[in-house]
Amino acid sequence: MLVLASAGAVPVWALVGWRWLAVVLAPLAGAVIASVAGACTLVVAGAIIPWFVGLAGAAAVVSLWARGLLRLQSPARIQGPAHAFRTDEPPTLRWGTRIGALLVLAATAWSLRPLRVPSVGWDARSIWLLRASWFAGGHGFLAASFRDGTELVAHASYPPLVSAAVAVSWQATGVHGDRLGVVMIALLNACAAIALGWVLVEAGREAALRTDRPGRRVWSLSAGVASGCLLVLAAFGVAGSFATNGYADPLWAFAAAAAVGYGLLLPFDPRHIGAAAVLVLVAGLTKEEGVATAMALVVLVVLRSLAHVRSDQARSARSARRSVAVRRKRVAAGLTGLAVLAAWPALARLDHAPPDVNTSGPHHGTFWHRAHLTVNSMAPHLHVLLLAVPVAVVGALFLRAERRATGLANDAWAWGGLAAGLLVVGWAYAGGGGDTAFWLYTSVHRTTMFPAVTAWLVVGGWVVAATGAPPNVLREPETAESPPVFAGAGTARDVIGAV
Amino acid sequence: VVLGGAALIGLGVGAVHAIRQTTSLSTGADIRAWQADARYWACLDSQAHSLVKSGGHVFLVPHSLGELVILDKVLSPWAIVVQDRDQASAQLSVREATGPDTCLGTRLQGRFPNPSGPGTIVRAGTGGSDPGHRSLPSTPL
Repeated sequence: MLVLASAGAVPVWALVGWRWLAVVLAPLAGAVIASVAGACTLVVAGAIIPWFVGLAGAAAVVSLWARGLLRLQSPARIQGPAHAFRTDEPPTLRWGTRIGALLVLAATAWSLRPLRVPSVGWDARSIWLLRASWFAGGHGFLAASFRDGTELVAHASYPPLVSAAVAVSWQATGVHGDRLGVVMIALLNACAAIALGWVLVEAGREAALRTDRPGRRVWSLSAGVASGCLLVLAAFGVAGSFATNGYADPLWAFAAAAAVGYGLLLPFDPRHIGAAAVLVLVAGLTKEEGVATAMALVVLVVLRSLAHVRSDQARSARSARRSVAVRRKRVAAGLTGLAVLAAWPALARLDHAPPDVNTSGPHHGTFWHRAHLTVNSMAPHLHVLLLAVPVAVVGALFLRAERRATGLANDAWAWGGLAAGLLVVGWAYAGGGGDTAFWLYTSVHRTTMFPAVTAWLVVGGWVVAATGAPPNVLREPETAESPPVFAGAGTARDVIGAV
Repeated sequence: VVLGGAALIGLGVGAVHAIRQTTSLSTGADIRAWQADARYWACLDSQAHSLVKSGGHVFLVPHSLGELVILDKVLSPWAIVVQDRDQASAQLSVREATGPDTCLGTRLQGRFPNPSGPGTIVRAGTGGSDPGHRSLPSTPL
């Protein structure tokens, strides 16, 4: 984990700055670099560790260069390390955030107790650890195994992040064992879970920053911390034994749900978008359904950012020309993100990986019959919607002003992300190949993790929104982009430009 | 307050359910069962390594889908599985067996070209031993 965190630290610092969140995003970003190293090992030559070291160095240099360039172009927009943990925050907020960090960490550590059991799940042994051995074996062995048409269980075309990260850990430590691999995957799951829980702590902080009343500030922060901890526990409950037995599903589900939180739920802020970018990459490089969902999330985040530009433009006619340029850059950034996410599936096809046995082959049954089966199979795993939907409807009807006062976005954006994830998976079951009933039986409890966890996130979001200060005590924000305490933290345009 | 409280209680119920589930996943019996599972796969791995070198070309001879999956899981991480038996340095299969040098009632068997003439040489895997017929923990899919 330290090796991965070292590789991901500088890019994460460039994207989100010095924050508690960066501690858990760094290993995830390192895992993204490991997956790129794995792809290079497959396509070009050599072994994964030299690629990993080289790419980590290149990512650090590019990040520093982009950050330095922005500092030269617009020094006021870049905050240095001195601003990492701001000293002008109210002490309540500083201590509340620290306590929140400790409690979210404690909830995660408690949820990792099943790691005491040395279990290695079916997919862990037959897919993720098996492919990790391929990545650890170097170009020749990897390429030969990757193209093996008789290989039934390994799903060569699956995205590389989990296996490549495990391969890096094996090569870095010299310990090539299933146990280390499972622990590595569980720790990556834990990092994504902490990032998810931190969405609500951050929401509570943002709400607290927007009120002058100390009492309400404590309420908002407490609501954020409490719901953040509960969200972590609930997320591990959704994942069950798969969180600690080497499965990759919790990683993409937690990361995608956290990306919904940072990109679509929290106030529009460049650092939140930076965090969402890392998490979207993690989701998109972990599983096939993660790729499609991550693409949908990129589209939604870009649409939200464009809506944000429009609201800026409405405030000032002078900024119209600038808004067009910003809009173009955001669309370009979104298209770049889509291209990056599409790279692995394209590579797998070009490199003659055997097609996925689930989504290829003859189509059994009609589309509507398969769709009916899919809905019936998904329903038992999405009971949380019975809570989340009424809460969201009542909140939208009666708590709109309070929600706006906390700075949280309309949760229709988050529901859009959830619906996109459900549609992607549902469409694959209904329109894919093979026997849907068996496919659903063996996977639907895992493919519904993302919508279930995202629904819990929405519920937690309304816990925080309910603590919003009434409009008459609102403090006027200094800029449209950021609340006063974040003034000068940069705009999304800067970050997208830096990336 | 009502909505926030209801949402918080809902989250709390979800968290309590999760805590119960997490607690039930890490009992002493679970630990012992999965330690046995790890011994079984380590046993098969040792036997396979006694028959095939890392990076070697191997042809799998399963008698059922279950045997194919076992052979695949054991050999694919470090050997190249080929589709043509003539390209392989060894043909591997799973045999039922009892006694020492078995892995819960099974033993790996290798068939090699005879360097000094026609026919093949058959060797049993060695190096791993997990005798008995205990059942392994069910693996959730």
